[in-house]
Parts: sequence; structure tokens; C-alpha cells
Amino acid sequence: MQSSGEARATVAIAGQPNTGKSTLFNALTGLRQAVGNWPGKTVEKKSGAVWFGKDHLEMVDLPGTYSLTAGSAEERIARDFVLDGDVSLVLVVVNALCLERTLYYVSEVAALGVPYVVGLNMMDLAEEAGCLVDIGHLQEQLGVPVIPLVASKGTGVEKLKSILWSQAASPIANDAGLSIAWLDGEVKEIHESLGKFLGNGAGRGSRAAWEALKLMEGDADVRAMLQAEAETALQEADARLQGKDSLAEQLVAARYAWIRKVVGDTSPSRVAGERTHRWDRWATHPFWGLWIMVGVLLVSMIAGLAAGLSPAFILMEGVFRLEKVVFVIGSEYVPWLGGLLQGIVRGAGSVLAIVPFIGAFHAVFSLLEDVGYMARIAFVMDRFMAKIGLSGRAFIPFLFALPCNISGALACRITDSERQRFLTTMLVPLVPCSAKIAVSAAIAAWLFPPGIAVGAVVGLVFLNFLLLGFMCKLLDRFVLKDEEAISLIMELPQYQRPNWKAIARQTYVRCVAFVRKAGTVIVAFSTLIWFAAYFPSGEINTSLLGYVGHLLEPLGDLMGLDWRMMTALFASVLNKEAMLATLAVIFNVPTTDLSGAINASISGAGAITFIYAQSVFLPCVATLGIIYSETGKRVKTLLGILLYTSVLSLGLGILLYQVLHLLID
Amino acid sequence: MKAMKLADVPQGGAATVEEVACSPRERSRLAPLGIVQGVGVEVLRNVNRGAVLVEVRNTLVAMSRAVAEGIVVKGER
Repeated sequence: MQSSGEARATVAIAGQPNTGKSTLFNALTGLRQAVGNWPGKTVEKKSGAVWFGKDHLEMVDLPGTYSLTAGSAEERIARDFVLDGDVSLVLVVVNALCLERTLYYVSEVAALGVPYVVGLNMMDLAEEAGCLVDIGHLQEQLGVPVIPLVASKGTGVEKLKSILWSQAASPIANDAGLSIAWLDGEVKEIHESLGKFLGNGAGRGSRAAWEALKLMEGDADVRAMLQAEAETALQEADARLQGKDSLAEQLVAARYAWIRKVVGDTSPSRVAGERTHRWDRWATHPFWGLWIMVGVLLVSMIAGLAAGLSPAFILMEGVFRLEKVVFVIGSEYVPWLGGLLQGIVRGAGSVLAIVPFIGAFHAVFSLLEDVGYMARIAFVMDRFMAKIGLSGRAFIPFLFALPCNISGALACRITDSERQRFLTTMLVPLVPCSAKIAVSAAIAAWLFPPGIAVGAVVGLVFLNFLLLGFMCKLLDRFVLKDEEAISLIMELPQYQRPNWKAIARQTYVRCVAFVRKAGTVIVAFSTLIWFAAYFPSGEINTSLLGYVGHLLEPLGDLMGLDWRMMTALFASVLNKEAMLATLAVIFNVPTTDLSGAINASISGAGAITFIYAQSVFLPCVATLGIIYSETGKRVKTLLGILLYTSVLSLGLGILLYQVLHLLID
Repeated sequence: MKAMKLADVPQGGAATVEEVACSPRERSRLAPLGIVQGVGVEVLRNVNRGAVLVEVRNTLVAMSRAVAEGIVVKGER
């Protein structure tokens, strides 16, 4: 990592899920990784460098997908990066345990016409299972280097590096030209004639072979692309393909025939080992599977909270002390300077304090994914989540948003498609976090007899989830209208021992990415709001924020809330836990006397409205910061959340108050 | 030995795929997982309304019931 010059070439690492692709990427690039999103997409992009003395190759990790046909955002990203990006070489990772299936991806890459090499991973597990792979035969059949690997132990990685280096410099041409290696018989003839036509007749150049193949498969993206760029060629191609109905099936059959030839005498093994079968008897059981899942998730959540919260408290304690000191020093010069400095320290401190929390949850999610359990949750939850158009995995972000929306927003990354990730990210703020529930409970307890208070809080949580389901349908209908939801079709990977080193590495890289991206946003926003609550007088009542509260009084009137309640509502964006403390400051009473003060200032209908409105109001700054750093369409997503939470809390709040006012006041 | 839907193969049963009569998108997802015409599948989990779990080419594949309804198989038992 000495020099930082230009990379010699770009190598894309590609393959199916459960091939150990990420582990291999980590083994090749080490800790120096750039983690972000693919431009405009909520799909993680990781890149890093592979060093050779002072030179390096740029390594880009493509999303793991089963094929490269236009089916999902992930498949499009991988395909487009190889086709349009400046990629010199593709490293395709295959799993020696499920060679047949993972070679399917090789047949896709072979058709793209880019040079590639094959990393044959999980050789240790294959040997253990008695699955002997004839590497010589594989290499001969594919005509490209095949490197045996055990990525989790680093075996073969050095050899792979040197092959990547020499190949990226002078790759063995993948001369798809007009013929694709695995085509045979009738489909081969049709493909060659169509490819020739597209190449020579329509000037599609080196992509002709791939485009011809995808047209035969009925790929919607390629059709659209040709429609826009070469309409007459598409019409001619359609005429040629007319009446040939089962081409897609014939192509699949041709792929598998080729795969069988490539695999040769590799002895097949019963991959889903005894252990996986034994555990799945319980984990996928319609009744016990559900309870095991509830147990596993509760334990994970508690472990995450326990590991993340105690360092957070210690850090915050230090922050509180420091902010008092800077407040006193700053206030000696200008009254509001103290508030500003305090805001900066608080903002920076809270970013620092949530890092252990975020790290703990990243580690928990990586662990569940790594051992193979995450896929079982998706399987068990499928029939429940499918009702609102979400996949089984989408259950996890909502569950983890209950203690704190931060962990929920982080969990959105474990969903299985961009579509799911968009929906869960948008909706996580509707899950009432423990802080919001605590505020609801406290106010309800002050206003109502215990029985009714408990009922009100339970009812409120129920209402929140009802709104979540409703918003999900709405987003699906109006925002994602073009994107069809796809039913569950997924692989359940084998259970395996967790790779602690890989988990630690991934957690570290993601925490660094969080501080870089979300850190500044959170510090800026908290400082801004803190400043607004102090400037110019040093008192929230007469501050900018208080002024805004006064301005919003007419709006508050419609909801039965005075300016003080409105100010507290807006200040809660800083930190939901501080809601009661803020109210006490605004009412100028000790927290213990707050119940009387609130009781005296708002009606029952107003109080219920307030409890409701704060439960669906904007999420806290930290959650917004995470969402900002995790999504692709950042500004749009944030604006969308701001818009719908405002409408739900203020708009529906007005309606609620007006009805309740007539009924009970 | 008669044609039936994969969704109707009882848990523990085995079958051979005759035809994948799903939507083109679903077909393009099933093919790389090995679920194509002529392949043998073993049904590991299939109860009332839940998703169906099968073993095919040494891979465990889960699919929602709706997908399994679209796969025509020949039962072996």
C-alpha cells in the first residue's frame, strides 16, 4: 500500500451467491476497501486494490447473482459493469461442492465476450465430501486458467494473485466472436446466423453474439436496447426467430449439456450434508421453525444491544462532561457560542457513541448470514410477508427497528433485492422504536388509568404496523409500479462454521464506511438543530426553534397542541429519548412535575393526538444519517421519508384530533 | 407415474420435472438453480400453505407455493 498511482487494470470478481466470493474478495484486497453503493442504486459496491510491489490492480466486487439475465437490479449492475465498464478481466468464482450449478454463471460470462479466469473455491469442503474435481479436465474444457482455492484459509490466493496479474496484462482472449462455446445443434445454427446478421448487417460489433443469445432467450433489456438503437434490426431478428417457440428451454438444455461435459468425471457427492439435513428438520419446520427463528432473533438482538450499548453509554458520559466544559468556555465570549460548541460536541459524540452499536449489529447480521441461517428465516417467514408484497427476509429489519430504528435501518441491507431494500428502508421509520414507545407510555400513564394506558400503547404499536402495511402497498402501487415482485426462489446454503476473521473484517470495513459517510451528515444536522434550540438567547423557549414552534401554532391548534408541544415534537428529531427532558425544559418544570404541567395544558384528545403524532413523526437524525449512507438515491429517499412521515403525523394527526375532540372533549 | 404439480408432491416424495410452466422471469431464476426439464427433485418440505423446499442437483432450493404450482412433474412414488 505504498504507492497510490493509477491501477494497471480493473478486474471484476463475479459469481453466484454462496460461492465464497466475498471471502475471496476480502482475502485479495485486505482491509483497504471502499464500500459504497452502485451509482443511483441501493446495492452495495465494494472495491479494493490487489498490490504487486508498487503496482496494483483495481478489484471490483460484483453483486452475487445466479445468472446475468435481466431479472433484477443486481443482475443488471453486474452485466452492465462487465459490458460497459473498463474491465480487463473477470474472475468468476465457482463452488467446488456445487460445480454444476455454479458453472452456469461461467456459461453466462463466456457469452459476454470478456476474458475470464475461474477461481475454484471451497476445495477443502469438496474433498471432505468426497467430491473429487478433475482440475486439468476443467481447464482443458474451458480453455481458461482454473485456480483451486480455499478462500477462507487463504489457500491458493497467492497463486491466484499472480495469475490475475499476468492475465490482466495479456489475457487469453475469450473469443466469443460469433460462436459461444457451449452452443450446440439447432440453437447453434440459429444463433450463428442471427449473430452474423447483427454483427455485419446491423453493425452491433463485438456485442452481436451476446445480443443474439439474449434475444433468443427473450431478455427484455436487450430487446429495449435494440429497440432504441437499431429498430429495423430488431424487427428483422424477430422475423428470423418467429415460430421458434421453445428456444429459451433449448438454450438452458444446451448450457447444462455443456456443463456436464466440462465437469466430466468429477464424482458427484450428496452435498446437503447430514448436518444440514438434520438441522433443517427443525429450522424449516412449519411450527418449530417459527419459534426457533423468534428465539434466534431475540438472542441476536439482545446480544447486539448488550455489546453495543455499554460502550455507547461510557462514550456518552464522556461527551456530556466535555460538552459542559466547552459550553462554559464558549459562553464566556458570546452567549450562543456555548450552545453551538455544545451542539458540535454532542453531534460528534453521538456519532462516536453509535459506532460500537452499529458494529455490534453488523457483526450479528454477518454471523447469521455466514452460518447460513438468514436464508432459513426467509423460508419460514415467506407466507406471512408475501401478503404485503415483501419477501421473508424483510421481516428482520422491522423486528430490529423495535429497540432502535438505527439497527433496523442497518438490517435493510440483508434483504435479497434492491426492491426489498428500498421498501424496507422507506418503512423502517414507521416501526415505533423503544424510545418512542417509552414516551407514549409515559404520557399515557399520566393521562389515563393504568388499564387504558396499556391498551392505548398496545393499540398505538398495532396502528403503527397497520400504517406500515398500508404504506408498503402504496409505495408498491405508485412508486415501484413498473417493478414486478418476484415470488421466493432461493437457495438454502449449507450450514457452516462462522468465519470469525471475515466477520470482524467486514464489520470493521462497514463501520469505517459509516463514519465517513453518515458521520458528517449527523454531526451537521445535530449541530444545526442544537444551535436552533439555543440561538440567540440560550433558552429553547426564546430560541429559533421556539420561534418555529410559535409560527406553527395555527397548525398545532388544529391538532389540539400549543406551541410548546409543537416545539418538543420538532426537537425530538435530534434524539427521541430526550423528548420528555425537552418538554420539561420548555414547560420550565422538573421532569417529575411534567405530568401535571402537560395535563393542565392540553386536553385528552390533544394528548392522544400528541402520542400518535410523535410515534410516526420524522425518525431521529442518527437514523436519517444511516439511511443516507445506506441508500443509493439518497436525497430522494430522505425527502420521501420526510414527506410521508410529516403527512402521516401532522395530516392524520389533525384528522384524529378533530374526531376525538368531537367525541371526548 | 402420472403428471402432477410439484406443489402436490408429498413431503419426502421424489419426482422428475416435466415442464417448467412458470412466467419467463421465474423460469430464468429457476434455471440457474438447476430446476429444468428432466431433472430429478426430492421434496423435503411441503406443508399446507408454506413455501416448498426441494433438493435438486445437490442444492437445496426454496420456492413459494405459487412457483411450485407452475412446475409440472412426474411423480416417482
